[in-house]
Amino acid sequence: MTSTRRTALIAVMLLPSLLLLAVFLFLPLLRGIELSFYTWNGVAPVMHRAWLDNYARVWSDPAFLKALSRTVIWWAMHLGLAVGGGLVLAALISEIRWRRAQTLFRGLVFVPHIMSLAVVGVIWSQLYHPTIGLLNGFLDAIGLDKLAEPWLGSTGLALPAVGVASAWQAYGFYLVIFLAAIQAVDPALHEAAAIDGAGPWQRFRNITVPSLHNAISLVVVLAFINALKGFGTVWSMTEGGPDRSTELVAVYAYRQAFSLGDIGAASAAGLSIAVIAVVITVGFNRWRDRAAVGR
Amino acid sequence: MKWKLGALLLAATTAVALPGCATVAAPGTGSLNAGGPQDTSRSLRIMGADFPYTDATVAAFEQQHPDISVEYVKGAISFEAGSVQTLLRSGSGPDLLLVNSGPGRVGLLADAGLIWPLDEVFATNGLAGRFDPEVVRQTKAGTDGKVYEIVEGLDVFQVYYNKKLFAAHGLQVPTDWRGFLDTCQTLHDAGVKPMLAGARDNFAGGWLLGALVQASAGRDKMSDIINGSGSFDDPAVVQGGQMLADLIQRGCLDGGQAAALDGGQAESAFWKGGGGMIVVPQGSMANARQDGVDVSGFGSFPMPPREPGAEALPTSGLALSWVVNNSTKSRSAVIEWLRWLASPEYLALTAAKGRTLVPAQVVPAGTKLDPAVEDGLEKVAKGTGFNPSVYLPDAAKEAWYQAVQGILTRRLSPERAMQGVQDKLAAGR
Repeated sequence: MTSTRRTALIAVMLLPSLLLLAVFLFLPLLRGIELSFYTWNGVAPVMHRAWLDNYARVWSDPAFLKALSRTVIWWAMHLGLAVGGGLVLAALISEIRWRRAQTLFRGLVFVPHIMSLAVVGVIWSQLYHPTIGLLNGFLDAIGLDKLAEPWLGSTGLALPAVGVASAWQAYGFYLVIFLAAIQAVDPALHEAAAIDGAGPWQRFRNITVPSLHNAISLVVVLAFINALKGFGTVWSMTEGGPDRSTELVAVYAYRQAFSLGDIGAASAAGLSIAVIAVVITVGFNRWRDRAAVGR
Repeated sequence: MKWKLGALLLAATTAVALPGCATVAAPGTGSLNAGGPQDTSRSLRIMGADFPYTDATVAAFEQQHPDISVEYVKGAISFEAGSVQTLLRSGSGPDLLLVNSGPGRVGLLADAGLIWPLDEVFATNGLAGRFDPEVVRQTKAGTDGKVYEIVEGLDVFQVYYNKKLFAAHGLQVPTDWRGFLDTCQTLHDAGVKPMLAGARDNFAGGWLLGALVQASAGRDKMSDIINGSGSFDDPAVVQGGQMLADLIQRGCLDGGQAAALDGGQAESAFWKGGGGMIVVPQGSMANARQDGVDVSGFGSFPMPPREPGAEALPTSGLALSWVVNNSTKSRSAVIEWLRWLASPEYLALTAAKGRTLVPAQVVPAGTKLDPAVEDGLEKVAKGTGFNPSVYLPDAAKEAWYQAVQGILTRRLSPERAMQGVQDKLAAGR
């Protein structure tokens, strides 16, 4: 096959994917960028150019800055609960020696991840229900009724409460990645360590975790991006309330667009967070690559 | 290579985002290019809520108009979710939509030329006489004074109370604010939750604060504010916010619980006997009756006024309205549907099949409505206050909802909460 024919064949094979990417990714992205430079209420027939005014308005809006700080907290919770939980559970499941039981547990722990975020929101809203919720009911039953709270109605507790629900939905995905990486670790390393007297915790800390370096860095990036997009669980459980205490950047952007009819500011907020995500992800990957070379 | 790609993307973005003109056409200008409603089709596509009477009304319409086919797409469409705007801007939206009422919402669509002014349809088909004049007046409150919506129904908000709980604790319906607080105290001391509310999804919180503000400021002052000559930071209105704060302070209302529950959860708990009082529209009781709840043990009264001797009035607001897509191809079929909506037969059919909204139409004698709806209709006839969220523009409405949540969670003082609403209202106007 000549070089020209080969290039043409590659182009033809790539064309469907490129078309789909163009329609569903690049064109909406370009439209979003365009909207961020205009003021538009979502219904008017014309838009007025605003240059960088939307970005200036968003970045000087205390509500956006608070939403940004909440998003950082949200990311930390996501990292600790979903990624940490996924890692620990993956390690535990990998220790199960009976194959069928391991398969069963692997399937069961993945179930939350296949649920839609709206369903997860409904389930956890009921669990957190102040009067008939399982959580407060359990606290009552064991005599800790003083600890019962209106979890989603407290400005201090709502964000952690929704964060737990979101982590419950997400950890299964990270668990699968970790489990695959753990199963690729040479069993001889664990056997040798066990012969040398290393306990399960020591083997986890000194063999499993270092062996998962690439998987962990991948999951951290994915978790970071997922956390920045945090919307579904928050909206279905609290709509950003009470008193905006669970308003993440994605919720802020949605509210600007549809509750306030400020499409330009919403686009500017969305693109701002996208740029932050790209910069941090690229920076993190570069750091990881340099660290890998240095090892 | 990476830098070249980045530069290319930047150049493309700049080319798309910053064309020469300072004003450009917005995306999806279909409705505006269509030149107004056309009359080339005899099929109707309608999108709106799924009422118990929806299928019956569509079937009856098709029976009367065999040459018109109707596709009714059931589903909630709202401004707050952006679906109304998107559908209309797409240029291929339904011919008719049932949307949240009021100049604050419908007015936006009208200003953008997305919906059809109905003044001529009203005049040539005698529709104006079929509707409550006050309702028609309110629908003309937009910028150009034209009618753009046909109101399907109204909501009338009152305090609904549990008669059995009141009787068990020797309580009478309070007639002033002092009596209301005493009633709360008695229930609270007896271990009963005096009031329930569900403000998580905002609407019900707005109803509660609206009722309190009406009880404090009165109809005339609220009318001034709605019509632009008054202010939310008026001391009488701030006092309404203070009344909400007082309810929380005295244990009459659990602010955290109210912020945690949505409107449906709070209503459900109330109709199951979980609390003494709640502020809801008539539809809540009518729906509960349809769901088999024995509502004979419940009653209603307007929120008592702060000043003894002042008139206690419920609040009300336009609930849902029909609007016509300006790009419809079924002009005459649309007009037939609007005539059907205004007909006594439509009203009778909806009343018989489970109407829960107070009719906006003139109701002929002998029409049998749900008792709660009947009560709402009587209250409307006598005069009601306003549910502000229907009449406020977007940003002020959002601030109104934030005011409720801020007071419930004790993070906002009533003064700051109402000042926030006023600031947004002033900016919007």
